[in-house]
Amino acid sequence: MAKLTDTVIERVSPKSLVDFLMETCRVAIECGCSSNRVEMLVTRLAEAWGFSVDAAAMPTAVFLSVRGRGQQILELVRLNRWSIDLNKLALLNDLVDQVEKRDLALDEAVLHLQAINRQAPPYPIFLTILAGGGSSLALVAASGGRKFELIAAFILGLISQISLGIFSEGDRKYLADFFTAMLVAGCAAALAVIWSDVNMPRLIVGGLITLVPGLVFVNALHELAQKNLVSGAARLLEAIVTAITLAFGVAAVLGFAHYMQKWNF
Amino acid sequence: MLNLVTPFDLLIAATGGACFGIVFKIPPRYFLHATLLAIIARLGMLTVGAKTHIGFATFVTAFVVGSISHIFARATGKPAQAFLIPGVMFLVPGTSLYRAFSGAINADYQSAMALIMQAVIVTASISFALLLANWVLPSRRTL
Repeated sequence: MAKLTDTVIERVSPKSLVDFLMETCRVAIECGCSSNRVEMLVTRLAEAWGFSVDAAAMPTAVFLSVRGRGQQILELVRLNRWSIDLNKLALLNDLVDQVEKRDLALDEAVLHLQAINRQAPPYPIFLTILAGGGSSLALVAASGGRKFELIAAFILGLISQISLGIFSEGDRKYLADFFTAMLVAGCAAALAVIWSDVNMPRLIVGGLITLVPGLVFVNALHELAQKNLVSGAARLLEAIVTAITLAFGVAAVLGFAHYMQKWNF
Repeated sequence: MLNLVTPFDLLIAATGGACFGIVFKIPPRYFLHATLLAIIARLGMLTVGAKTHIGFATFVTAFVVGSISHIFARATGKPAQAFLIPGVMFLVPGTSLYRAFSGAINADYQSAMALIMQAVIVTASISFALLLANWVLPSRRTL
């Protein structure tokens, strides 16, 4: 592929570069890239195009100050959803590599970025739901679950994935974890009524395995250890709030079940 | 130490790694890499974890998994994170964190505190092990 000439590089306007960088930050954070990596990424990209940049990335927002060609532009992008999408992250990695090596013009890079953003998931939805069930099964098996507990965990994992998919859409997505925890706990309680010797706490944890914020907690400490204090603290709070939400969802159902039992329902 | 591991354990790890890989949308080409890392993680926890403190076992295992994911990243030109996340899922203390808050809600503060401390120790072990792996085998890529 032909490298871009210095004339082409010099023709890039600060505004179009900032727009590209902001969109890159958005895609990177939305697919689970850590904040310090995002900051390094935009710095290297801007430098490749002859600009200097100061970036502050957090899970909920990115601030950019780009200087060059006698101008300074300050921009903010607000983010309100993020997850882990390793396929998009790998594609973004390739795009960044090409831009950094000056193999792509800025308008081409923008088109590539839009294509990555629209990229369909690499696995069909039914396979993702089955994988959610498989994750729950693996966790319960790893913690010494018996045969019928493995089957129950697989079913709860499926329910958890479907529920998350339904509740994550729309205005009430912040309640998705709570409703899913309630649903999983309710199903686990019902299974415990059918099979009396089932280990209900193990089933609940197994069913909620893809929701429990272990990875967020690790990322939080990872960022704090690198002195990325604002982003690390934000992720730490996210982990705590998610854990509390799940615990409240489960407690609400189990409390209700306890009173039902007390009143001989 | 390997006599502590049964084929069933490896099967569980492979299933877990593959399933977490799909849930986190790992590129299909690198599916086997992620599954292998999950098996290594489980193997590490079963062997090292049987003889030592959970924090140390997690540290050693996370360091090995982190280093191998950086080697995979160098070999394939993809971000290390793509291999790392399904690999470390068997190590992260999500269950402890959830059970801690669940205990706190049920007024069992003593076990809640113990579980939180355990989660912090395990998480710190993973974080520092991954930082160390990144320092020993730094990525060639930004992401």
